[in-house]
Amino acid sequence: VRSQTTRLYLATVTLLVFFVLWTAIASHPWAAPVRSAVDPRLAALAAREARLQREAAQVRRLIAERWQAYARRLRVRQRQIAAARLRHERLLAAARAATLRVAAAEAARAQAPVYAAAPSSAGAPAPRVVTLPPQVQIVHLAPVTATSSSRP
Amino acid sequence: VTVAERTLQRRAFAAMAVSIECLVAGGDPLDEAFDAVEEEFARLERVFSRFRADSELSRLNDAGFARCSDDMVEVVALALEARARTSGRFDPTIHDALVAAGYDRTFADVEPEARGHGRGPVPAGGLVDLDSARRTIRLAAGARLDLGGIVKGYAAERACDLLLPYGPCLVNAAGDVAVRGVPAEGVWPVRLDTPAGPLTLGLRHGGLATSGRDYRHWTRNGCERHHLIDPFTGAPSASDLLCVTAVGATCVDAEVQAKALFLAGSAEAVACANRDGISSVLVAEDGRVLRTGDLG
Repeated sequence: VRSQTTRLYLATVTLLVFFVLWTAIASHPWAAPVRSAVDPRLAALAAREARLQREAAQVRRLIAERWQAYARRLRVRQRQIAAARLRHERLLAAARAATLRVAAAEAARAQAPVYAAAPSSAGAPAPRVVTLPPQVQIVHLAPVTATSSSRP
Repeated sequence: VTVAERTLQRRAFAAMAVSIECLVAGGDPLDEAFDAVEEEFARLERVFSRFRADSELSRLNDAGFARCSDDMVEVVALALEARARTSGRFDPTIHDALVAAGYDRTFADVEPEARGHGRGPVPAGGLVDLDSARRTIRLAAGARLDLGGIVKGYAAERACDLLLPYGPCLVNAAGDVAVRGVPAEGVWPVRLDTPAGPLTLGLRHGGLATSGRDYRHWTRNGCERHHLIDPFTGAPSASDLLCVTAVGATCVDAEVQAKALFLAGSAEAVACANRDGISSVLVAEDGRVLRTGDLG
C-alpha cells in the first residue's frame, strides 16, 4: 500500500512538473520583449507624408502664383494684339483704297499706246525698275511665246 | 495679227542647253541689245553651270568655300530665301541627289535608258553659310549646290534689265518667262499647252515659269527618273503632277513656286496656291488640269 501511495504521489508530481514545464515553454521565454507602441517605420512614413504634403502645398502655391502672372501677361498681350489688328485693318483699308486708285490710273493709261521708243538718249532720265505684284489672267489673244517645262 | 506681232522684235538663240527667246516691243533695230543679252546668258552660264569644271559654281562645290562674285552671292541668297520660304521644298543642295539620279551631265548627253550605275537617294538640306558682306560662301561637308532651279529665271530677269531701255520686253528661257513693261494689248500673251487644250495666259507684271517631268525624264535600272528632286527624300519626286505653271512677282519667284507646288502634289498644291493667292495651272498625270488664284 505504502508503495502504491508513493507511486501515485510520484505520478501526480510528475504530471504537475510536466504541465508546469509545458506552460513555461509555451510562454516563449526566449522571445524578444514586446516592442514599444509606435513602430519606427510607421513613424518614418508619417514624417515622409507630412513632408510631401508640405511640398505639395508649396507647389500648389507656386503654380497659382505663376498662373496669375501668366494671366496678367496674357491680358496685356491680348490688348497688344487687338491694337495691332486694328492698326493692320486700318493699313489694309488704306492699301485697298490705294490699289483701287492705282488700278483706275492704270486703266486710264492703258487706253494710250505704251510702247517705248528708241533707247534712252543722253540726258534722258534712266528707266526706273519697279517690282509690281504679279498680274495674270486668261486672255483670248494671239500668243507671242509659249511656256513649257525645260526643253532644249 | 495683233499690234504686238507687227511691232515686236525677236531673237532666239541657244544658251544654258535650252532655247532662249527675246521679244521687244520697239521699232528700232536692236541687234546691239540682243547681242548684249546673248553675252549675258553666256557669262551667267560660265558662272553657274555645274557641268563645266571651270565654272565658279563647280569651283565652289569642289572647295566647299569661296569668295564669290556678286551674281553668285545674289543667286545663292535667293535660293536660301526660297528654301526658307518653302519650308525646304525648294532646296539648292540637291546637287548630289541629281547626280545619283543619273543627271550627271547635260541633259542632251544623259542616256535615256541605262542599267547598273544608279545610286541611292541623297537627302538634301546641307548647311550653306552665306556672308553677303564679305561675299563668301561656305558649304557644310558633303553639301554641293545646284542652282539650275532658278538660274534661268535669274538670267531672264537680267536680260530684261538690258532690254528694258529699248521698250517693253519679254525673255523666255525655256518656259521661264520674265517681262518688263506692258505692251499695247495690256498683257503679254503666253501660250500654255494642256491636255484640255491650249490656254493663253495674259501676263502683265511679274514672271511665269513651268516645271515638270513631262520632258526631262529617263530610266535607270527600269525605274523612271526625272530632275525634280524631293529634297526630303533625295530622290526624284513621286508627285502625282506632270507639270506646273506658276506666276510670281519675278521669274525666279515663279520658278520657286512652280517647283514647290509640283513637289506638294495636286491636292496640297491646290490648297496651298489658293490659300497663298498663287496663280497657277497644274497638270496631273491622270490628265486633270487644275487652276488656282487669278487663273482659277
